[in-house]
Formats: sequence, structure tokens, C-alpha cells
Amino acid sequence: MPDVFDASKDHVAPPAKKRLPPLEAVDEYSEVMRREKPSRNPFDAFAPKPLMIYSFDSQLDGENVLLLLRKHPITQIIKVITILAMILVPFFFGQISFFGLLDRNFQTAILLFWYLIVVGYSLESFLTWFYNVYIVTDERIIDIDFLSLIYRNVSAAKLDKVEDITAITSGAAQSIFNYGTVQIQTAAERSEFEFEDVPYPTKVTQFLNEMLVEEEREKIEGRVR
Amino acid sequence: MMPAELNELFFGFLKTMFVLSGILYLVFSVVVIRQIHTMQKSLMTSFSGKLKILGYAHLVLSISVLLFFIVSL
Repeated sequence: MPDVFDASKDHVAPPAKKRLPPLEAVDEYSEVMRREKPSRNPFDAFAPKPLMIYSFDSQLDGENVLLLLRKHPITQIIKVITILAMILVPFFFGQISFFGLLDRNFQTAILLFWYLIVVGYSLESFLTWFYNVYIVTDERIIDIDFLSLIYRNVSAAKLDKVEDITAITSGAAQSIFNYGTVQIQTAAERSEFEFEDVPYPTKVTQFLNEMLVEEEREKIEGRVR
Repeated sequence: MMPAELNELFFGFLKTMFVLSGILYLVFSVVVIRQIHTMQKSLMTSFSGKLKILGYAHLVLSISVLLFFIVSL
């Protein structure tokens, strides 16, 4: 007798999906990334799909940077004002009577040394800002901290350990320039990550939530690395 | 002590202070170079090469200032 219904024949294999490059694949599941253009500027404080990052410490094989964050440039305004003030200070050296008593070579030496200190302070401030970054990859969140020239701290947590994400914007400056802190609670060794003073905290939170959903989906579909 | 001798002693002391400060600053600029290397290892970007040049320019500047202190003061 011919089979009226055979369930085994009913199963149709889904068409094989074309595997996209990672930076394009993120557009598939992230609304935030779909709206953003890849960043090429190495000084961007909010750099989605960054093309100017070649690698980072402790990067895993096949791990891709999807978002790079650093402090909003406006948070560096006090340092910029300090540097400008330091540049202007030598114009008032003439007011100090002791300075006038020194011979020309000593006056030049003081000026040279002062400006050398200004250059050193500017360089150190820039380096600290430039290399204090928060990275979101397709696998982890990473916090690279350089609190001073001789202190380094790198922490990371896998995305599946992330439990709770909160964006905090407080104060007039943060509201006007749209930056704030993103707090991330994790079940990893370090229980809390703080992305301090980063631009667009709401976007960052939304993106991280999308990443968590994708991570869950990967788990269910058995695509977890 | 004669005023001229006092004067010489004072400027000699001042020169020593300048040279010592210059040496300390030189150490600082070497630390900056080392730190740029460490930072580059932490995060390699398209700007990293230029930063290295900036670090070395800073080192050359501090050597020049130290030489000025030694030779001219």
C-alpha cells in the first residue's frame, strides 16, 4: 500500500546560509551596528566595526573587535586647559624679580625645561586617554586600563557571563554631550565592569543586549565556540 | 667668603640641579618609550607607528635639553 503520509520525507533541510565576514555578520543581528558605518579614525571615542584596530593583547583566534570605546574627548577638557595655562606661564616669568637676576643662559634653560615638562605632560595625558579602551568583541568584553605610565590592568569577561547592563547619564555635561557610564554586572571573576564616560551609553547598552541575545541563540543552535 | 665666590657657588649649585633634573627627565622619557611599546602590545592601531615616532622625538628633545644644560650653563 502506498504511504499516504511519511514524516521522514516531510523534513526539508534549510538552505545553507552563506557565511558572512564577521564585521558584516554583526549587521545581521544588531540593529545598532546596521545603522553605524565602520570607523576608520583611530581617535574615535565611539568606534563601531573599527577598521583601524589591527590586534589587541589576549586576542583569541578568530575573535573580532565589534566596538571600541574610550572616554568622550570632552572629559579631557580640564587637561587641555591645564596644558594651555602651562604654555602661557612663561609669559609671567618676567614678573618674578629673581628671574631677571639670572643670566641669559639660565633663563633659556628654565624656559626649555618648562616647555619640556609641558610636552611630557601632554604626551602622557594623550597616551593615557588613547590607550584606556573598552573593547566589545564577538566573544568577550575587555577593559584595558592604564592608570599611569607604569600601571596596567586588563580585565575580560565572556559575553555569556554578562548578567545585567545599565547605562547611567547624570549631570548637565553628560546630557549635553551625550556620554555616560555603562555598568555591566557579570558572573565572571571580576563582578562588575564600568565603561566610564563613554559616548552614546544607550546605544552601547542596546548593542550589548543584542550581543547577549545572539549569544543565547548561538548556544541554542550549538554554534558556541 | 667673597661675593664673587658665593655667586660662583650658587650658580654651580644651580647648574648641578638643572643637570640632575635633566637626567631625571631623560629617565622619564625612556619610561615613556617603554610604555608606548607595552601599550602598543595591548592595542595595535593604525596610529601606533606614529606614536612610536612621537615617543622617540620626545627622547631626542630631552637629550638635547640635557646637553644644553651640560654645555651652556
